[in-house]
Amino acid sequence: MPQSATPFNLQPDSVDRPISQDEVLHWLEAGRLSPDGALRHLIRLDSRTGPMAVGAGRKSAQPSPKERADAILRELDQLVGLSGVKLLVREIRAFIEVQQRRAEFHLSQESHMLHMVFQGAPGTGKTTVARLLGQLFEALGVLPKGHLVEVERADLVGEYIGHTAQKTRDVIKRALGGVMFVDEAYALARGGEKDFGKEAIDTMVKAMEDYRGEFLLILAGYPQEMAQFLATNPGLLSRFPIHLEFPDYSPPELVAIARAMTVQHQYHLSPDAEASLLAYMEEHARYWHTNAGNARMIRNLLERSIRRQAVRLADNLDHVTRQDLMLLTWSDIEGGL
Amino acid sequence: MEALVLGRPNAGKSLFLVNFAAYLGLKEIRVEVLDGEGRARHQRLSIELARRHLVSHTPYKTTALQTIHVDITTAKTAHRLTLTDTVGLTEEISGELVIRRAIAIALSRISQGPMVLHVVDASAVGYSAIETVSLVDDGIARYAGSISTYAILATKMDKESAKAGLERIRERFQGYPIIPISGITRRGFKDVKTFILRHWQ
Ligand SMILES: Nc1nc2c(ncn2[C@@H]2O[C@H](COP(=O)(O)OP(=O)(O)O)[C@@H](O)[C@H]2O)c(=O)[nH]1
Ligand SMILES: [Mg+2]
Repeated sequence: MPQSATPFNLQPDSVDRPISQDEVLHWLEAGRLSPDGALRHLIRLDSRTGPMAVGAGRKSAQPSPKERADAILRELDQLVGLSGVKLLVREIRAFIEVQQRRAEFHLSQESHMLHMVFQGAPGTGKTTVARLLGQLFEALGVLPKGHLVEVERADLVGEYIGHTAQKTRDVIKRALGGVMFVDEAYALARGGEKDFGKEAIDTMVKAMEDYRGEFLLILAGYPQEMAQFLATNPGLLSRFPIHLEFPDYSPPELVAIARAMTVQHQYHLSPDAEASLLAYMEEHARYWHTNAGNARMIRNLLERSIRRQAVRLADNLDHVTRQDLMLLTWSDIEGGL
Repeated sequence: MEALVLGRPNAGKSLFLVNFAAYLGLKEIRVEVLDGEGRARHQRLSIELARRHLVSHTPYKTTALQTIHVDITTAKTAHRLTLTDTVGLTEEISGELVIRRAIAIALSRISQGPMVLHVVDASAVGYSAIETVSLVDDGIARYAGSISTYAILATKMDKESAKAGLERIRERFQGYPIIPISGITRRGFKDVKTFILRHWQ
């Protein structure tokens, strides 16, 4: 199994959200909620404030939440490979739906936000999956907005004491109601104890308490670096119940990605181009694995191929067929490798 | 008809309230102060005194709901308008129980359906270097904006940075009615009056 923990492995100190407007006001008075937090819970609990209540009029025949969740999972399924990720996302959906059903029967529930760690090289689909998860959580009613705020160290860490906390808080505020995705998160531990990265981590940890259940935090990065990062920050590890592994794509998967991308842009690969590309990548597997800019390298490769194809056709434009315009040959690709 | 005035501390709620009441012709303000225990106290203040008493440079001058009754007279009839000032809403949890309680009372009022006038300091929005998101303003707009008759009063328009601030507010709160005003110069008061009368219930 690719994941090191299932969603059922939750922290014991899970805390409920207020369940009625009266409770919101009591929590506010007791100092358990800030005024803005109270407002967000009032919005969530008031039947008059659906997500579409303001502004743009409600479209008729909106798909039901279930239909939307199904559609999002179908989109996930179209991603090449990632079978472990797909399986776990299905588990997470089932888990959430069962928790919600338990609530209807007044059974105790785990209402903890399922913060996650994504381990994988750049270009292995982490951001795409994070975006889909946000949409899924929105459809399931776990997050009110489900949007994605993608950041890296430079967006969180400032230049002087206090600056980092402020920058990080601003990012968190933008992410409320959706997903905060920190790419190359291990870079926050780069400079050791005195580095401001530590301050960013502390601010995030505090926000996970202060805005409990209000956003999903995903820390992403290379597997080894992330493992080491979490090992040196034990306080963090316990707060992230779900770990998803994004393996490097295999050569056949990379070819499948190339095929999907070409089709998307109304090109196609000649059979010879596909076979040769596969052979080439198997031969250079080590390069493609470790350097794996993976899907991103495929995209760059295809962009170069498309330019080479254009050069090949340019001299003879009056005689080209539709088929010629769409076809990418091995010679177009080979020159760009 | 009741209008609830909401916003962050120091946004300019109280000054708007007092000067708007004066603009509507009120000579003397009879404030009904609901203290933290929920008891009502009555005070009669001249406009001048009310201004001094209610408006402040320190955020938490308004710690309880303060209610002013004014009559808006049109050609046909006199309408009795109740304007309610509230304590400023913050992103921090206050250490003082009175303030937390006052905030809870203010928020509980929203769901009872008064008109909500949401005061935003346009000059402050204008000079903030980074666009820091005000979660309080977001929350008020999304909550009151969907369940009440609602308008944003972009105030302190007499100040330098307010023009840029108004632009940002317009961008940010698209689809909501936004009325630029100044509590000092009384710019926009006529528009506020028109808005209130148009939505009279
Ligand atoms: N220049 C300017 N200052 C204002 C305006 N409205 C309020 N103020 C000032 O802003 C500060 C806070 O006003 P106040 O009404 O007490 O704010 P509240 O906390 O929202 O009730 C006071 O110093 C006021 O004099 C305005 O329209 N223009
Ligand atoms: Mg005040």
